[in-house]
Amino acid sequence: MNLRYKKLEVIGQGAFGVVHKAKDTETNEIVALKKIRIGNAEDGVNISAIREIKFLKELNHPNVVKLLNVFHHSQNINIVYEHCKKDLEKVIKDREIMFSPSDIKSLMQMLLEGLNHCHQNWIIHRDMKPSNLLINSKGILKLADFGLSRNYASPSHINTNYQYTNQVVTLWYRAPELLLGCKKYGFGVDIWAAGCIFAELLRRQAIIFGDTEIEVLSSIFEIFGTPNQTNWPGFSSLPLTNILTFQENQPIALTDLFPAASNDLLDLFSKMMKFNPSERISAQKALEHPYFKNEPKPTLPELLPFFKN
Amino acid sequence: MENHIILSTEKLLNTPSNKDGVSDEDERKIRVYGAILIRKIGLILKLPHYTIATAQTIFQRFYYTKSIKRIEVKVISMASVFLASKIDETPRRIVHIINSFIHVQQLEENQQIHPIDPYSQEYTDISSEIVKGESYMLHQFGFVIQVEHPFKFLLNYCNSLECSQELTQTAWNILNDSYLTTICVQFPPEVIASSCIYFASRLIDEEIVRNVEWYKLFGTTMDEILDVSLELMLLYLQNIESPKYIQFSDEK
Repeated sequence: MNLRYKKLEVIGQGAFGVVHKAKDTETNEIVALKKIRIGNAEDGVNISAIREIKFLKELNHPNVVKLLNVFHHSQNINIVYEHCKKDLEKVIKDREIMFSPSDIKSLMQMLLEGLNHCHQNWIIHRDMKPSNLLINSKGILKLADFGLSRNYASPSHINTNYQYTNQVVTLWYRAPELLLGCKKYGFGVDIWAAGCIFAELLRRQAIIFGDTEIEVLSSIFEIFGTPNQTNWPGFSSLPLTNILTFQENQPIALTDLFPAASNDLLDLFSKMMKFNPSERISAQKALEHPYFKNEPKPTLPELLPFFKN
Repeated sequence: MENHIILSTEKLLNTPSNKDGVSDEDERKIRVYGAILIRKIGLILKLPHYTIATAQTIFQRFYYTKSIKRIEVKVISMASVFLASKIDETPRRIVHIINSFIHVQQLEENQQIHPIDPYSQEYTDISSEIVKGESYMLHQFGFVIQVEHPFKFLLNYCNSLECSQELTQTAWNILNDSYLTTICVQFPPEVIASSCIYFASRLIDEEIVRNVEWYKLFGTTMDEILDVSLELMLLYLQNIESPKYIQFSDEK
């Protein structure tokens, strides 16, 4: 048994194994310990574990969860992360917590900073959603779970191997190009998901949802209108565009969707939710957007309203 | 972002196999054997050149942590292909790796070609050896598995030096061959790229006209180029077409 980490309670059950809260007896730090089973005899070490380790070792940013250690123990790989008390999904669902416009600005800024760091290192996260955004006791938001991530530079992009299906990103946060069967995509899929999270922070519930790809697409088109060749060149040649037919919808005015939101916020939001992936704003440009410079200023992380108890 | 692993001189001079009584020459030969085996398996599996290079790099790195007497080179060659195919997002199934290996072996020994029965004991044994080998490699590397290759540097340099097609192709081939040696764990990718261009220009007798001391532009010194060139010379003095297997580890 590895004696360095003393397991405390279970804090999560991921697709690849259990996550424990644990105490590092060398540093007295509280950490998160993720146990990944090596899998069956035919597959060897889980490829998601390899991705996660590879990418987290490359990334080093306050808004990306820190990998502290990796070790083998019996049939498992154990990954040690810095411990974060909460995730954004729990925070959004907690009706006791109220967000001010400054709080939302602060969360979005941290999210985009983390995302920008990934993109600068040519890494697409591919699974942005509130439950993968952790928040530590100082209120700092951190991107986690790189088990689906991918190097953008990877030339195997063009291949149609099973890795590169459009089956990435949890359904509700999945960008329209993925839902329409596009197999070549870029950083835009992360930005779309970030936009969905933005909306969820404002509305305290998801604006796009559905149980199937078709339902999610309809949900998107009901809000943003049905795309066409003009606002999305290449739309008509996407794999599923010809198979599916959608009702012609007109976009809803964003001021109806978010009546309390400021104009700069709506402008940034609309740029994150562009149908055409190449028109979608980059994380870096989003951070330079006036929304983050204008009043009210983003709340300091330690003053975010999560840990009042 | 510094991902490339370069081993310390101390590690490079005292390999675990050396300490185990394996001569420098035998170690050099068996490393070439393993790296060629990886290349052959990789080509059958249609792996891209960078995945083959990643497999060869982690293979070379592994034998700085363990002696070739202790852990069978054939197993680690297959485990390297298995792990590298995951690292580079070009995954291959273990059954295909084993079959490619068996195919290469049967060709080498002039045997009749027939695939292995996936329900046989032999298959199960090899498969579990590879899975164990993969885990063991990760453990030995402390899970540091980033590999940076010189390919993109080489193409960039050749472009900016206005090298001929022939020179570029020759340098590229030499770079591929360099993975048969420990060059990939001794030098940074920029130095390897410059050295392959230099070696190629000498080999086909084509001057690089743009600038006499062009390599300085890429942060490489002549000393480094000569070090790499020496390793390449030693490589090409060997029979790298069909390297001989040397039995070190105890038969099980």
